[in-house]
Amino acid sequence: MAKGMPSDVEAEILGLLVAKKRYGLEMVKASEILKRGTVYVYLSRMEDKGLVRSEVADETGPLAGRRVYEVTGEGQRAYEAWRQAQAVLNDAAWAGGAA
Amino acid sequence: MSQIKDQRIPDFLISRSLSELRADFDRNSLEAWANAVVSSNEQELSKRNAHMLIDKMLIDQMLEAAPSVRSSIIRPPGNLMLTVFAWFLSKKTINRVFRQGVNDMRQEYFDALEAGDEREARAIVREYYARLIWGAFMHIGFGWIEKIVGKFKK
Repeated sequence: MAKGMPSDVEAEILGLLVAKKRYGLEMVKASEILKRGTVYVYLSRMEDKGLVRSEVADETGPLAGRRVYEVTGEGQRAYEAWRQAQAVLNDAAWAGGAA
Repeated sequence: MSQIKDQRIPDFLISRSLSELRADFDRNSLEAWANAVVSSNEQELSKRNAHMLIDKMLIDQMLEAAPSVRSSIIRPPGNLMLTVFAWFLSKKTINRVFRQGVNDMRQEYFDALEAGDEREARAIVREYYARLIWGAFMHIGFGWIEKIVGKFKK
């Protein structure tokens, strides 16, 4: 069960996974803020929280054990909540700037 | 069985590719030499067989001339790192976090090798090693922070 709002990095990952299933390296290449090597630390924590799930895509060969990730229902809800919170914050910032 | 009078390859043929040698074979009228290596006393070889025999001799000679060329099977990068990490990280963490990183490293490493860029391939391995070691510290750090925060919440 997810607790609280996802962080910016977690929201970036969720945003990428909402569109389609992806490998970690695919996400890194599609994002400007995700880093090679550390993206899996976030993915592992998000899997523990129930925001994403993964399955082994390659059983054999030099890339054996490779996982493909997808977002869960909990992850989609968390992502929507994060987007709404961002929209409220942006609106408040604009209103503050205009005043 | 035919006898071969002289199996020694002329010096000017050594260290050249087979196609170059064949081209010269026609151009420089080496057929006389081909005929000379086959004894006419016994069963005479056809011209085609004589060419095949010469090809075999040339290949043998080239292999002898290049003893440093050896093929070998090497392990893909990342095995050592996974072995070391397995001493202090759980199997679940290894499979979920570090094996995935190593797989990414191997994919980019193989892509670079396929493109013929060995230097880039080595740079990828160095970069990934640094990132994954940093990732290990980060993972352990997250664990400690969670434990400390958990104690304060109680």
